[in-house]
Amino acid sequence: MNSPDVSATMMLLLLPEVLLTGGLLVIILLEVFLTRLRRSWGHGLAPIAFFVYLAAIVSLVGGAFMSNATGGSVPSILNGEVRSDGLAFYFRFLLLVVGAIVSLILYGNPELKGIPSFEMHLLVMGTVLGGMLMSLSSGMIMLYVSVEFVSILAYILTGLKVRDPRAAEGAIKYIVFGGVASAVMLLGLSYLYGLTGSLSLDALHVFVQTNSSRMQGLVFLAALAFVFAGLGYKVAVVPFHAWAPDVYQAVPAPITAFFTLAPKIAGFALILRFAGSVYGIDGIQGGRFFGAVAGGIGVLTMTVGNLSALKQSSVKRLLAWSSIAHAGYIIAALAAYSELAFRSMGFYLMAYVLMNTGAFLVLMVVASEGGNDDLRSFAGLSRRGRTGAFWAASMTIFLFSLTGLPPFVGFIGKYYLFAALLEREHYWIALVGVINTVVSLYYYARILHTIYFIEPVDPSPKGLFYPVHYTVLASLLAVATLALGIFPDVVAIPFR
Amino acid sequence: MHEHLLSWITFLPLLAVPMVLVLPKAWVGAARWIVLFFMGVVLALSVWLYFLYNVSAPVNAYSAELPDMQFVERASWIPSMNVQYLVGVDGLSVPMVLLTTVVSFVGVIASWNTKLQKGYFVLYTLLYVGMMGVFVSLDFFLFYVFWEVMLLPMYFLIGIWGGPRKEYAAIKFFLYTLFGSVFMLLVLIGFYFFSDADPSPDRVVHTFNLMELSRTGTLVGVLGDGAPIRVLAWLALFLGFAIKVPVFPFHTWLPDAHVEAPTAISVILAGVLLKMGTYGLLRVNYFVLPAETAAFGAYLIVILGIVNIVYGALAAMAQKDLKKLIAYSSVSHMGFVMLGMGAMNGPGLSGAVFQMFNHGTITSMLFLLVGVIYDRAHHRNIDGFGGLAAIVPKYASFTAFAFFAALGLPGLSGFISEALCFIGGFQRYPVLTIVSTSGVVLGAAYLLWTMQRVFLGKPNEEYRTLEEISLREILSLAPVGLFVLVLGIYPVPMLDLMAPTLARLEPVLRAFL
Repeated sequence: MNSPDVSATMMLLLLPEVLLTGGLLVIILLEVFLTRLRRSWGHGLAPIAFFVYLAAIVSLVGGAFMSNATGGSVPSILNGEVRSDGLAFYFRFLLLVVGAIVSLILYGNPELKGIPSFEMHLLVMGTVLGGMLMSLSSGMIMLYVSVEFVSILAYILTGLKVRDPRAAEGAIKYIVFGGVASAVMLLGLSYLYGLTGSLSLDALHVFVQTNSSRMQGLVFLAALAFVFAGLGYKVAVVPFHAWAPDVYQAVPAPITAFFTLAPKIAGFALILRFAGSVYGIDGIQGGRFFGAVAGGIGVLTMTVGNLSALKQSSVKRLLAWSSIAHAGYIIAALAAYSELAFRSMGFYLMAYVLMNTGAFLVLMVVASEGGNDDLRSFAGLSRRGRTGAFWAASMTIFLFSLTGLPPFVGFIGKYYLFAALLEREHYWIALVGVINTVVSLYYYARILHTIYFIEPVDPSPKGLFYPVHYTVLASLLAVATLALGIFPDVVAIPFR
Repeated sequence: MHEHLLSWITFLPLLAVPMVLVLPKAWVGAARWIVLFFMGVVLALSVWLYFLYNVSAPVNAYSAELPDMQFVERASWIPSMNVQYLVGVDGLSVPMVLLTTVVSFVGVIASWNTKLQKGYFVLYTLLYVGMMGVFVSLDFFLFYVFWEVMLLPMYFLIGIWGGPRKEYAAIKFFLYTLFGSVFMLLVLIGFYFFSDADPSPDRVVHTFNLMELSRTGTLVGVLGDGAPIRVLAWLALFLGFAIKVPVFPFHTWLPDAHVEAPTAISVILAGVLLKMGTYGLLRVNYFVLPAETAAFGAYLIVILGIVNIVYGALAAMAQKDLKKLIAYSSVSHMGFVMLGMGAMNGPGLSGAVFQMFNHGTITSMLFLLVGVIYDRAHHRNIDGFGGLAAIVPKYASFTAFAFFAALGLPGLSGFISEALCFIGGFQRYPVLTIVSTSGVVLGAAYLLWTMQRVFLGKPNEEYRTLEEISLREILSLAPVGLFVLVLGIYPVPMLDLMAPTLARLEPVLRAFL
């Protein structure tokens, strides 16, 4: 299907994105036409958004079935800029699930009071859409455009709480950092175009295989480095991570949760696509160098992330640093550059969605009571209110999973990553990885320590205030974390 | 029923968890009865297992060549990683299974009056499942999962129900053990990728199956026979298991954990958990990497074992806290296991495994008895007591019995296992064995001296009204005490049980010497 025209099959394959665009339009229209009822209508948005995501998921899965049924050739659309294949399917699916979960979280969350809800849902949905486009990109234009799309929406989302000076500060930091990173990435892309004469990522593969001159090879590597820098900023790995803790701290917890999920997933989709396209799996010499660099970055990231998390007294900031560390584990696996490595990275992202969302949920519940996300507000959670024990138990599950202990999905995820590394004999990276795991136990356990071993600060425990459906969501996530830890094969990972 | 006996023994108590959780507040007292019931059932099942286990008429043997590995159950668990639910027991694990059920049963009785019973017994049950799973797993991945699963409930059990420094002890235990385990994880993955269970050259079948891995030629490539990385792998595994045993100098978590943990948890910790370390060394290091074991591993184990014996005994002598004294005596007694293991011959290996069982029973008694006095006096200061024999004669006699068992009095089980370890050790390392016998003398020294300070002499006025040992407490001591007594006079049932498996292991090791 290489025709550049719009065809029915193409529209069908992109139906999820179309649906999301439709959703965006609906929200905009609602905002315009319901100006008078705006304030009371804000609540209705989340269910609408949720159903849009559901519809998109259904259309995505349906589309996959149909293309499997019709012989499953991988169609390339829009002049090779967009490719809908296994990788794209998996990451779009993951992003839509994140969107759906986040829309549920945004519904009725007390922390979001000062934020205009129409804009917020618009931006969240837009970011998810952008992320899906990132997963579909197979050409340089699409790559850049989608990354910028996601970035710009993220900047605005950061600064949305207009009266909060921290939000404004975070937004500025994000814009400046992101702007530079995008510029660097664009420079890299332009060099790659110059070298290969084509905008398609596959052309890079061809370029690598033909023996080019030394000078060209160096320029190529430099250009790759630039592009990688741009992507690395998006997923917040060292040394492109400096913006992340500040931005995560500046926004309300639900948005932080969203930021630790969607952009990272989309960023990794693109990294995998890029890595896979350029060098292929089990690729050529250059691939090993690229992989080694990735491994080095991963090691740095996980170490910096874990060590910094140790010092945090705010659980929100702690989780922010921990998500940086997790990105480190994932990217370190790239050193292996094998099918197992790619699959393990994808699996870990899914596990990460479950555990991280869960941890943030509990954080939101606890922070809602005292209004602060400090470690001390977790004190004696297991004995607070009528549901304290439930939240304590859920947090236990999520934190142990984040550490990577069986029988939770986090263990299987880490296992896969280390397996990929050891299969290709990257012993040192794996060693650093496991030591980091032990380090991370310390700060995750410290939260549990506060929850179980310390008396509640307020002697007369008030109930915890949170929307009812949070309990359902938390239970589902906790059960999934445990169930997938025991039976991970339930999630088959389609991969090209 | 026979075919799935091990799964029943491992997982049946899980049924207690939902039952305990749904108990209404008024009925919380029922929780301990529920758990006691289930522990009783699995105890009975494990005794039945013992009687069914028979090398000449094997039940579900792993293969014709391995009739001593019985009650094997196989199910595919995670096909994408070739992980199986593979369990089975042989002469090495049956004693451990029995030990675990007995000690767990006794532990419930000892926990009768603990606070926050619902949470406690749920965690207790989960801990039991983890422990039992380790001893029956024949798939290395499964083994690892159970090994780690055990850490979570332990952390909470020590950290919530423990003594004054419980949080510190709990996290120290957790971090220390996890540190060792992650090295095991790396070797685990290495074994998988560098194994080939299929001899035919056209395809490579990776496996976690410990039985397969134990066959020569299964480990290939970087971990192939004779490869230098195997040494590293052996050491990495050793680290993970050594922390558990605990081997000097990785033992520093033990005094804290034992002292701060509540009585029943100390019993389980010392009675069962420590044995998991030596069990792991035998099951993995000895069976899968025999060449390295014979080359240097056994020697390392013996040297460190001697250090354990002597250092443990000397440290015990210096203690003022009764529980800490017993903790260090555990370190010392595990040293005997190491001596026997390192000898790599018939008496040595039998002595080692037998000592594992015996130490489990004896140390359980010791900790139970400490618990008794602590419940009444609320301190464990040895010098704070005196002449208690006149005040609580029954308690004194039980303690005397336990102390004599600990120092290896002939007639009680400890003597046989220690003697076997010495006999085996002397055959290979005569000088070192002679040094280690000082451990017996030192053991007698600190135990008898303690007995003198606590029970003999002038009765301490403060404790004139000390309560005698209760029926419940005697009931908790009885099962383990019975084993100590009977096996001391007639150890054959236990020794014959282990013989086939150890007879299988010994020539393999000897071939590499």
